[in-house]
Amino acid sequence: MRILKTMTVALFASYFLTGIAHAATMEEEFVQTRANEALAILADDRLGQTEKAARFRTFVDEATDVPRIARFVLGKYARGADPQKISTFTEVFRNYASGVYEAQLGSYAGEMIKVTGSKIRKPGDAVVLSTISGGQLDDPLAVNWRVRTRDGKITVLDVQVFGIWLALQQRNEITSVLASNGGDIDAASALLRAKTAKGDYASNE
Amino acid sequence: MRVLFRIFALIGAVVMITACSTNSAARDDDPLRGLNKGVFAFNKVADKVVLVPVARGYRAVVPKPGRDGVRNVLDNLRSPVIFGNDLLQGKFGRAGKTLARFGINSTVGLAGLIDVAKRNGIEKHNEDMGQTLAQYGVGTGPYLVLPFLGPSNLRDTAGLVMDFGLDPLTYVRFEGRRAVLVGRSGIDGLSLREVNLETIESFRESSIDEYASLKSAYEQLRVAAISDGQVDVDDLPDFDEFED
Repeated sequence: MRILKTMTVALFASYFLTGIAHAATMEEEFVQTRANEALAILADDRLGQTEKAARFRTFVDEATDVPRIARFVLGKYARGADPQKISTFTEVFRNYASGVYEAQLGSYAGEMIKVTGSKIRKPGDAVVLSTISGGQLDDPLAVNWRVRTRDGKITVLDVQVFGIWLALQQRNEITSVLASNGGDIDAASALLRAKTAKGDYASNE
Repeated sequence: MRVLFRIFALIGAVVMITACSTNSAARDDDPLRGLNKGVFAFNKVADKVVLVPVARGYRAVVPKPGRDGVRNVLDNLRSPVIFGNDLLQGKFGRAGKTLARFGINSTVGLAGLIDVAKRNGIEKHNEDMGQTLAQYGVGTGPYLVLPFLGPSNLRDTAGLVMDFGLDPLTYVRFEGRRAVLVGRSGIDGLSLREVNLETIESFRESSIDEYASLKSAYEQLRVAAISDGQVDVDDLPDFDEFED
């Protein structure tokens, strides 16, 4: 009990003494903890594919900020747009993104993640650095996490794999579609909806 | 070699002419979009009709250890170019690693067939003149899609030609040299296509807009390559940029 109390005091002391540096450490802990939770879901052989997908979807919803990512993906076309159209796009985008990663759920083969550090872009905006190794990987793979902290809540906004930031990649594709369709967000929603249906991994909207 | 220079000269001429003309489909970040989309469409057909079937045939005929050996030899032959670029970028530690890899793999590794250096902890890395020019502050110039070679930009295309100047085979004179150079380029392309068969297929399947997706991926990968994989947080876009 005394150990717990000492640890709590030490945690609070270091929080107030180290300021921003400590914020990064909290974000590193967040990524490590969340990543371990995700791997636990993937590795749980008792779960059927449907249940695993459902639990993973709930997990992703909690760990990320889908509305903010969807708005980021719309780029300049989000500014001044009809809120209803953005809301529809957000749901379609959520289903599309879920379908993409759910299609990969079965390929997990025991890979492990290790957080190696972090870089602060500005207060509340940091990149947590990590490596994934083991399983099917011949060499460790660098995976970096863009995390945002607001009112004590940390969420993941983007992930960099093989040097590519995924949300940024989505934004470049979606804004290209929007540019070709006169900025019509519904056109982008329709395209994503069709893409999701074709992949046969959509949930009911 | 002369043929290659002619191809690049032709591409350069077309690029210049197109850049000077008004293109209704052009956008700020892709002024040669019309031309690029044409070459992109051509590459897709060439890939489907020629490259993919040949790459699948190569995979079916040559077992994986053999294909790995070929890839290792080709990577080893590129070492002088990587070494030259390491030096030009002032990365002497990495230059030493490249030199060590080349020495070890060319001898103990049986002319590069086996990557003995990697097994001893000397990891492979890549450098090219496009990255070197970037280190010297040269901007990317317009985005380009090259016939058969795929996504690039003006700086990286210039770098591609300049890399020939760092390749010892450019200067060695022997009978059948041209056949060797063309053959090496052909096998290199085939080997790379075979290694990436599944990756490219998956990339295409998940793309929303394949042209934009390839452009974005290329540009991001080049930024990562230039910084040797180090994340520069100041280069990242703001997530609140387009909030109302």
